[in-house]
Amino acid sequence: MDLILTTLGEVTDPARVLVLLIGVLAGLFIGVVPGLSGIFGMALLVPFTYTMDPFAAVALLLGLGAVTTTSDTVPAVILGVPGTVGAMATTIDGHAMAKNGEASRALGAAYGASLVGGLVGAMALAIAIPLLGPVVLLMRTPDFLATGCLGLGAVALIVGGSPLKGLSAAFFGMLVAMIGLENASGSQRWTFDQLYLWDGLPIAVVFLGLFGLPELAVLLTRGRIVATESVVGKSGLFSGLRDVAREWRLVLQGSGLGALVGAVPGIGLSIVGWIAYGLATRFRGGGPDYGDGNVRGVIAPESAANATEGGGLIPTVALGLPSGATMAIVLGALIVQGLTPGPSMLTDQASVTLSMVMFLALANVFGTLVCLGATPALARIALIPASALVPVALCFVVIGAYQTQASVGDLITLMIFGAVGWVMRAQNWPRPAFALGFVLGPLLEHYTFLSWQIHGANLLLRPSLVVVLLALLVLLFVQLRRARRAGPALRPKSTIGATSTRVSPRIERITAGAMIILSVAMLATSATMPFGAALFPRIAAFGLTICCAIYLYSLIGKPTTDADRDVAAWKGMGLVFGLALIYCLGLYAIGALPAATLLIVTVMKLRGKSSWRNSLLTAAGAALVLHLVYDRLVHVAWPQTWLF
Amino acid sequence: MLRVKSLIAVATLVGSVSVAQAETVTIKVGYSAGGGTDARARVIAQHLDRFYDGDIDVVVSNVPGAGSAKLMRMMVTTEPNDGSVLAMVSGSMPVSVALRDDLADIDMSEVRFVTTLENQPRVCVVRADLGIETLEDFRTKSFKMGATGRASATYVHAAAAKRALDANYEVITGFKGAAGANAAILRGEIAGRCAMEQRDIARTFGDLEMNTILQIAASDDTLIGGTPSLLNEVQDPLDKQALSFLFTDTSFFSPIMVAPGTPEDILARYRAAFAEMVVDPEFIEDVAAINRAFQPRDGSEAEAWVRDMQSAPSEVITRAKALAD
Repeated sequence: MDLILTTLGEVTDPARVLVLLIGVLAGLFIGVVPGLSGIFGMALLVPFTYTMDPFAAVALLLGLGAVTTTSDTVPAVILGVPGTVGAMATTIDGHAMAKNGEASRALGAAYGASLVGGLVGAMALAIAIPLLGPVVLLMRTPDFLATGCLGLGAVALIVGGSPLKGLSAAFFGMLVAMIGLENASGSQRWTFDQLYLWDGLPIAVVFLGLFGLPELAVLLTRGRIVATESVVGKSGLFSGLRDVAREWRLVLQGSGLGALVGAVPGIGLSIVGWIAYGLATRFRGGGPDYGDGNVRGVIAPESAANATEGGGLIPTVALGLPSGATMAIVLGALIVQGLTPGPSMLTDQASVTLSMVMFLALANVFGTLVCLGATPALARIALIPASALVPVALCFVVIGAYQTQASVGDLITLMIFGAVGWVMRAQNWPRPAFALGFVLGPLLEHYTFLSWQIHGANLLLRPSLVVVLLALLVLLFVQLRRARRAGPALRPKSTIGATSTRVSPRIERITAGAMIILSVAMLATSATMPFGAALFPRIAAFGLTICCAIYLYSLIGKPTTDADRDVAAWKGMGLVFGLALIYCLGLYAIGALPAATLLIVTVMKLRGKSSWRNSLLTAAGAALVLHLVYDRLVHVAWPQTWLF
Repeated sequence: MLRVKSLIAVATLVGSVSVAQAETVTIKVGYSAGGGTDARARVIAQHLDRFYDGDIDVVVSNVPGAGSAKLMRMMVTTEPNDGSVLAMVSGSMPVSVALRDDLADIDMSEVRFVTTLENQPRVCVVRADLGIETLEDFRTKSFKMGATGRASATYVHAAAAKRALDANYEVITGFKGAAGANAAILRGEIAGRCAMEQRDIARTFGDLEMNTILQIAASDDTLIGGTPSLLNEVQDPLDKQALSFLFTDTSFFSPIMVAPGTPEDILARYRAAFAEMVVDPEFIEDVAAINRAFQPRDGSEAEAWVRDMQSAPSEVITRAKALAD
């Protein structure tokens, strides 16, 4: 009891609360800006902790780390562009809700779920450090492989009624993720002598393209996110909070999962949301279909994402084993403070450990309150005409991608995966399955090879792996049987992340054929790679070929329809891609800020018929924010401009 | 006092986003934010302006890619040579450029080194509870050593030692960062790893007792007493030369460079600034805070090292490649 009171005294020190608030505000800001991550924010803040006491240092870093996954929901819901990789799963139903006029409700539900998730994560940290520390030491590499395989279960769950397309998308994602240097041998895989590709395609850029550009294209076609003004009131916000209370089991399930998976090295934020989402889709819960704006599809990933911070701290604090890059920074900061992660964190330094729990909880409360306060204003973004919103968002998406490696490769990757995302969206190929394959592929390869080198064939005797693999097989079998029973009429609609229910078999055949050609080409070119480096790419390419071939076969004899000829949508896509291309060229020709100003003014004047005053004010505001974020904060290495 | 310190830090934090009038110097880091090189760069950025002869505002920018080879290539092709950009790349870069065909187009002799910050031997360590206590045990017993990628020092040191000593251990590659290998050692899945700094052992492994078996250095200058040096254990003259070639990076770690063609006066100002900064008590305190201690060498020494490497006989390079394979 003394310990709790003493720590409470340290935590409530006004200076430390102020530091915590600064961390929270910084974290909220970073979460909102697409392309920036909590890792970046922490690296930026760590030097400031050197002169702080341990409590203040912990407050600053955890304040930031705890809430980036709260505010990253804002662009995910409003624009369909995830603020960080942690909000990818949220975009599917969150943005659909915004389009249905339920932006406030989606944000309210997300914040409520995030708050509970964060608090559960903090509680897990408090309870688990003494218990789970030794357990983490008992885990072996095959157990981490088993956890990665759990993610495959999420693929099986979210492919819904179209398992062949879902599995194809997952294999495609896995195959794309194999581009780059193979980690163990250093062999080059489809790098085409480009240094940019050595580290593989950057996840943030791929996902900005896959989810961001297509949604902006759709938004431009729609005119604005919602048509009616009745959707931005506080009633929606409270409705979202009530959803969280009603779905308390789902919230606890997601939170528990987040805390657990957060503690496992290498799994983390990019996957946990999808697993939680996949589990949520087992029940519809009275709402619309998943992908059409089911609030459960927002609650599950958000509660899981915010719990990962607490989970990640468990091995970091208890054993000094960071579960990811963010935790490695926290660990470094703890060591700088003279703290020694390990058993002493429960004895000599117990007060600091307890303060982490309290700061995490407080940060989540502060973060949620700030977000709730801002929601009515944020939800009004849904009413802004697309002619103003799209060019502004487009500049942030392009620069968010460019700042990743400050390379033209970032822009090319963004455009390519924007096109891939558009085609997948238009033809009901589930992008979440691609995203999961992309994230899981390298992880599974990494842990498989490590497990094999360390444990040899005994790897297959590890109980965790056996249980997970058997469960996966059963799950896949059940899904395939369910899809067959549902019949062809239901299949397209039940594909999560899909948008259109009617796609022409002719276009489907072309797409499936193109995928087969691509996968066979990649299979053939993998012949020059060493066996170890080629194994996983071959598995992915082979899987993609087989799934697409079966799907192609199933399309034989189906009559061609005009269902895919949505001229307005294709025009919107063409316009957004054209604008993105022009902005990319402008970035190199005259610089990021002048190009952004010109683009925004031009689009607002020509397409939106806005006044000069509104156009110039919007452009100036956007340019100022771009300057403050990317020039003053991130210090992006801009390219030398061609003209001046 | 703690409260005052915290408030000062907050004020600094807020102040740091204010618009500065000075000329901006960017330290580009070849790795993502949050790693060791990034941490070094951010400490340097906080102090360099106090010592540079001129009004500068120093910022850090991350340009990750290909283990910093991307930034290295940018430095010799596109980066300005007016002193506005400093680069921090891998210390192994000159060795990698000499050994790897895919980096052969980079001419390291063009690059101007400002300084190199670290000059410490690296060591191979194993868990003490496995009974590997002497170099003979290390050579003859069967166990597993962990490494990251095959181009990393963790692999090159372990593989070169295995081949040069004809040792029986196995090198497990593919761990994600040294932290991944350290975690596997703690879990008992592997016995140990190479390319560690002696000072990091206790901090990394805590209560787990580790035996330091072998040290890796390019020369005798910096050797830690009491631990055998691989270079001294090898008798074959060609192997000696090849190992010395491979391990030279331990003497010139954490290099800081400017682009080819940078005017001599700007280079001289940077060298003077770093020479002053590295003995400044405040800087040393902040460096200690990130658990580092710098042993700086003048950039001209690094440039001489690069010239020596480029003039190495082809059989030495061939043997070095074989040892590091």
